[in-house]
Amino acid sequence: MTTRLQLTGGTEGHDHVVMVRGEVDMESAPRLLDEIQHGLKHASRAVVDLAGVSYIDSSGIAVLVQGLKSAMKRGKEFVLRAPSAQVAAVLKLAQLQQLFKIEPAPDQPR
Amino acid sequence: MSPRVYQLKVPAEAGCLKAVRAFVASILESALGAEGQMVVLALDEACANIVKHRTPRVGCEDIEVRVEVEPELVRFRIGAFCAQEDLPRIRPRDLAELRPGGLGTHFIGQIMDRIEYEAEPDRPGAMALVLEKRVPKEQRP
Repeated sequence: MTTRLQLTGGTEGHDHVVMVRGEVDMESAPRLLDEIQHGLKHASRAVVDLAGVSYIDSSGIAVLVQGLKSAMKRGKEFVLRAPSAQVAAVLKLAQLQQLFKIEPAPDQPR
Repeated sequence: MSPRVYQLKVPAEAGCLKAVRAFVASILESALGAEGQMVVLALDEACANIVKHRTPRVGCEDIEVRVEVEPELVRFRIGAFCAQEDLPRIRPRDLAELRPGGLGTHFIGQIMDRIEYEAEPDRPGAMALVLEKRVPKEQRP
């Protein structure tokens, strides 16, 4: 897996989808927040696809919490898609897995 | 049997945390197996706290990590982690609060088996952070 954070934002129907690959850490997390905020401005639902995330720390989790709070303020939906095993483990450690709406990858059954 | 010792010193900058993770991961892969990944997270969180919060009072501008690997235990020592007067402020936050930040200390507490602070002999007022993780039975030699 790659380590450098790669972000790709795009539209899927009414959703703004942010594809995240690589490592989300203290250095790179602000870029993810910018992309999430951009998505929330332009769509009713922001989806953050975390399948390609090889590492996330508390800075990255904090960005996801900020994204959720921004979405709630704007009356929009915020969804995490297909978190990798490491992301799922860290969400569980933070006891936040119940807080987020989490969807499987589009090609997986819901 | 004396422990195997590994040491790393890098500038206390966010861009150097990758190097700390790579250094620790390479050691822990053989010592701790699958649990090593979460221990890397704990070490990363501790070092990120240095980048975020350390004051010039501790007299150090670097992240200094020492790892000692014994058959049943891995011990980490992070030099000049904080000033002695910072200790009362270091505590995990209430997870019921929906707010970003403050999770790193919670992660460290959940992942590591022992957390201690010890005075730095050559840096008055500075404290090192000592973290320990027991090696799972199936990983022991």
